[in-house]
Amino acid sequence: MSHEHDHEYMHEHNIPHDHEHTHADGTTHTHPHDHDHEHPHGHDHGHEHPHGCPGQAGCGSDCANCDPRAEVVALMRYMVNHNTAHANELAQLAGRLKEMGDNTAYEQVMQAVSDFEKGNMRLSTVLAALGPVQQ
Amino acid sequence: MCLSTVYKLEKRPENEVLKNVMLIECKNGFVTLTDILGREEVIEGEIASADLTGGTVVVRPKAS
Repeated sequence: MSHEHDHEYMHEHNIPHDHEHTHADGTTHTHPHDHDHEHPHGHDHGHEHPHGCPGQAGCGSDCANCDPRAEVVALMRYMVNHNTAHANELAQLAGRLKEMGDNTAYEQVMQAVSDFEKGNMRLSTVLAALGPVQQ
Repeated sequence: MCLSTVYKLEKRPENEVLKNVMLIECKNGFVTLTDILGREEVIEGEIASADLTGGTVVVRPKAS
């Protein structure tokens, strides 16, 4: 994933600005930001990094330079993975109910987990059909 | 959804900075936001509140 960091103003305050981050596709890397910053003006501004998108601040998917399909696919991928994590957490809760001796509740929650996983499998199939994120 | 929408000063539509934020880093008086597509916003201030069930984070200028 490419980045561009355009600065509308010349900034000058040497904050260490490097950080590791993880992209939607799971890739983790670090950008060393070795530019100087200066805030000679007294007003509050966003210090925005437009990434080629002039309407970046809160632009969501309605910006001409953004790919709304890529955003939808990325959100779908995130939610499918998130649902899997939640299904596992629910199964653990069911296990605790079983340990407490409530087998009826255990079975009901596990049935719900099964239904949840079926729905997530359907979402996963749709996601596969949508294809990889193009950015 | 456990992604967040980040606002400046207070939760108002016109104050929205970035949606679908998956990573927030605070360093040296700046808050770096990264959304689900890897887009970044860096704003000056500190996290005033984070509603993790409501998916809302508010950033305010750092108190001097």
